[in-house]
Amino acid sequence: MRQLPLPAISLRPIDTKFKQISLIYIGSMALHEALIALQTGCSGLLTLKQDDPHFKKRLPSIPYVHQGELEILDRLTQLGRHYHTIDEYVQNIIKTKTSGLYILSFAFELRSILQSYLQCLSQLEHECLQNTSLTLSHLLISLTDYTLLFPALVSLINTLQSSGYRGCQILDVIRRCTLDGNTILSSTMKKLLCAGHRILIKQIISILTRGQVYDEYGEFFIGSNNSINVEAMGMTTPSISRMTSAAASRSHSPERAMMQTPQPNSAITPGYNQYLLIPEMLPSYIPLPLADKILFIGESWLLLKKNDDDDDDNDRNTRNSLGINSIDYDEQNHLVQQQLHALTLADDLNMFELERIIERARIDLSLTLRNLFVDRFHLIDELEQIRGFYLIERGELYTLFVNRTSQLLLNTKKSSNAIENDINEVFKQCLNDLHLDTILTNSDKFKFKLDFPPNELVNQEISAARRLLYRTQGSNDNSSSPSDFWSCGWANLSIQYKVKYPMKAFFSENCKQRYNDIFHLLIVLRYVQTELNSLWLAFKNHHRNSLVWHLRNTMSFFIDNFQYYIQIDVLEYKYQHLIRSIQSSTDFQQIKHLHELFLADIQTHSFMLLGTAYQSIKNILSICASFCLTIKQQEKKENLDENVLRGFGKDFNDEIKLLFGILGMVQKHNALPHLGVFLTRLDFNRFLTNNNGSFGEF
Amino acid sequence: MPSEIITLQLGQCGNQIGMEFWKQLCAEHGISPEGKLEPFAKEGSDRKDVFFYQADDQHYIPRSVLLDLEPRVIDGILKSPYKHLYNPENVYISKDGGGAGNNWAQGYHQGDKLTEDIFDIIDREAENGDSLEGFVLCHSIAGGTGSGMGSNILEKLNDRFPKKLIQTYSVFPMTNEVADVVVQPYNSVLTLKRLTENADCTVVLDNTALNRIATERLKKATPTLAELNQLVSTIMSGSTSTLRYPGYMNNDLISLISSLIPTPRLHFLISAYTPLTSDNTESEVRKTTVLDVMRRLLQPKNVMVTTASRDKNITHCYVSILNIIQGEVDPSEVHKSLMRIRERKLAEFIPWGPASIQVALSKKSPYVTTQHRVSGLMLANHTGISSLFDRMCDHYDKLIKREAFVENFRRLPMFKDNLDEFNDSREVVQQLMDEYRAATRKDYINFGNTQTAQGE
Repeated sequence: MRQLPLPAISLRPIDTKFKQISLIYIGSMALHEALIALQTGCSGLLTLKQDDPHFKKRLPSIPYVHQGELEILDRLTQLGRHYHTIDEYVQNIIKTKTSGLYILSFAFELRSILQSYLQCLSQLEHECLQNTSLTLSHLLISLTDYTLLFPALVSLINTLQSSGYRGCQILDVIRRCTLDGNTILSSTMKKLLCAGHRILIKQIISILTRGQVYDEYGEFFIGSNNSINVEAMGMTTPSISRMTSAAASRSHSPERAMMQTPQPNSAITPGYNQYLLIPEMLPSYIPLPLADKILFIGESWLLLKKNDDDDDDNDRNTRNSLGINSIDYDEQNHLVQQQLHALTLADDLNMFELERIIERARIDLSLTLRNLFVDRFHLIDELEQIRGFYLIERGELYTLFVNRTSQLLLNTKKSSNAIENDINEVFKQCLNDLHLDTILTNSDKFKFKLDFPPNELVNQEISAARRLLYRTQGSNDNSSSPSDFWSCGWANLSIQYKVKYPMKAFFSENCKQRYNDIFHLLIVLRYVQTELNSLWLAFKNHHRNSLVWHLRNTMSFFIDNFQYYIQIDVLEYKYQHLIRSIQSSTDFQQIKHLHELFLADIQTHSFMLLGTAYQSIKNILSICASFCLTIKQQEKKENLDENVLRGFGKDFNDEIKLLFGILGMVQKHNALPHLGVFLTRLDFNRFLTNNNGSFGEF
Repeated sequence: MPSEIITLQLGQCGNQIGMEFWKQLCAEHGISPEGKLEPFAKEGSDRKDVFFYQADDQHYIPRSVLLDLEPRVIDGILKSPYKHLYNPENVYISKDGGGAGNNWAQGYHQGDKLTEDIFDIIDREAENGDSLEGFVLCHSIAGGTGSGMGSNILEKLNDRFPKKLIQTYSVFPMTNEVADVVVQPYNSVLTLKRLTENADCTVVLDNTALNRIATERLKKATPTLAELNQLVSTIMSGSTSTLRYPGYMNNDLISLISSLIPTPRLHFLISAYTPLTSDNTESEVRKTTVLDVMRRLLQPKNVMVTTASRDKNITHCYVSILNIIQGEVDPSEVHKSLMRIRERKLAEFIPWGPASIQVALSKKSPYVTTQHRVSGLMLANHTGISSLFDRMCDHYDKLIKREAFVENFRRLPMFKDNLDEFNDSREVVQQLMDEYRAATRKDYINFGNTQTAQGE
């Protein structure tokens, strides 16, 4: 830059004796001065003090120079000064090399503008040398474009410097400048923008075709996700996780902790939580869905290419098959690369085209993934397994399991490895006894865990609505005994599902958490139902005291119907729907989305997201549980205390009334389409309606 | 092998029904008459172990005990292709082979004498499984063996296995014509007492209704005994289908029974099945939807018990209904059907508590081809069943007033001194009828208490 191939550059302003000289060569010198000024932003003619470059006050008047010409000189000086500023900025950026690729590319583009400017100057100088009678006005006219452009560039640079924008963010700022009526200005700005886009497209190509984020300076709108757990925790709102009381203790599980540790030497674990979108880096003119698609494609490539460290030998086959697949994509990748590259050649980034290319790439990839997951990895089989374990599809298995562990889990108050092992052993035994090991083949992937919330949390929970397990005669009030139903093993049982590559891509931590939330409700429901049924058995030969019978019957009625509603009306219905959609869909991303929707739907319809209603259901469940336990305890005694029974009846009825109040309100707003199903079942003979929402007088 | 169920087949009728039942079960599970798994029976999601166990050579053996006081029917079974199916140790025919002579007292007395032998078999069978859920007893209440010996066994079963379920499939005699067994009303009332007090659940199969259904639905002028028995076995296999083809719910007997029986005495269930087909007739039902099936199940003409919907100024009603729907069913169809039934008030329910039509969805056996997409079975607790008891009591009262044919009873120890047992049984049946009638009223909740006071 400094070595301009112009003779003019050697004529630097040297002396303060300029005045005298100017008197002699005023005509040509003025031009020279102007040219120098244009390059440096200062000239001897205009500067009073040479040692202070910032003090640029032109002499009020110079003899022999017309006032008008001085004005022109002023303007040219200003132009030169802008040039100087820009040049300084460019030099600075190129020298430091730490400001990131976008700024650098911006600087290079600026430099080429400056170069063309200098070229223009040299042209002018040439003209001046040939024709000494040229006027200053000629210079001004020749440089009109730059008088427009430079101030805008300087202000752009100022904006960039003051705002501290970097990376993709500057694209936004530059783009705003392209929206100018002046074609010169806007076309130059577009060039600058284009320079930025070249970097952007390169980064996009990198992630699209290799699944890598090539981003040394943290400028791209996709970054690696350092805290994998963020996603899982983020989705479950605090209120839910508190209610289901498992999220809090997730960090206690050693396996999970292991999974969370980043792989050594940044080997990337496949899955859809490796990268994340950084919204503040996303230029406003790139739609979020597009960015999502890019993210998805990138992560899918990761998934297809890299492998999980905890793969064991039998997974090698699948790995190989993936390898074969990845070859097929090279051609496609090449195409994408070409298309995208073509985009950068145009001076305007064609967003429509970009979206089209990416969407096409996404559709292709998504189809491939769909075929891989559904056909080769048997996604539906995996879902079947999950349905078997989490959603209690094999009812007989859980009936047996509940029967066998009923006491054990009831008396479990805190988690221990021994108990967990016992439970898992019992479960395995149940599987064997029912010959289900050929159907639920993945039993080694599913392990029961007891996730007790930390103590302080428990206390908060209980104090809200304490339900004692045993109600002693006469004392209906809450004593300080800690044997609350929700602190026993049944309420804190969860399943740990060890997802293997490549299924990890489908089942996120968040999904597993949701499955567990659903499982919590289902298993407690199953437990309470079993207890109520065993009460039936215990009392079948006592042909008396109908109050117990009626209360039991009513509770059973509610539990059975609620169970039917959740398991069949909601779960089975949605599940069938999900499977049908998976089979007909050609889009992996859509399948993933549908699966998440499926889980969300179930949670909504089982009232898990309706805080008060869910609390009420939980209260009903614990009333039923403690009713069974109390009655069983007193069974040996000849007479059951009627007051105790009536106490249970009253509590039960109160909660039912409350629940119906809430659900009635929800129903009025038609918020849950399946709620009507539940209410119809419970009120089939209009008993509730006719009795003010109560199940009878107890 | 948890929650096993042992089937006890008693007497002529019981063994005939049982025979049909096992035939049906074998067909549904792909088990050959010899007990071998058919080569095509690869689909393994069914539960055979509730009703079968596997011998050392992998043969499937029914958890079934065949009892009779005369050899005719059991001999027939042992000459059929299914002769190798049963465990020969579980087949017991009284050594004197004389039968019970259609006399309840004779059957009861013989049952008493044979208790040891019989319970040797039952105990062994009960210990065979690891957690027995209960017993299913099939018998007729009109004859001598099924009713008399059945009564005796019921009493003892309840005594020995107080925490096990006892379900019976009891065939009730024709009441609308002259009985072929003159003492049938006696036998029935005496058995009914045991069914009330010692069984946990009785599925009432009314011969009158069975004949009517066979005639009407199957278009048979005179249905054969085998056809009637097939109806019964359809009910039996249908009502156990959720145990054998488990889904989300209702996969143990208790969950089926407890939802149907709100109070211990009201445990007499009526049943219906649709669509019914027989081997050689075209079914008249062409299209089956869930709504169709559920609606038909509520039609009295399909119910296997002839009940009056009104008697003595009482409007009878359903205490509970369980519909077991078999086939590929969309859950939303079930709901729509329920809504329709509710709108049209096709079923009248009790006024004293919440009640609804419970639905259990069950898979169909992959090995039995049916013409219909959906079929349904209803088990229901209906207060109208008291009218059946009422008719029986009418016949009984007429006989006992004259003390007709009581000599045969007097010969046996129980009636040697007096006929108190008759009166006692009649009283129990009366209480039962009263309770069923009370269940149609709003104040039934308090009925139990006052009755307890009377009973004690």
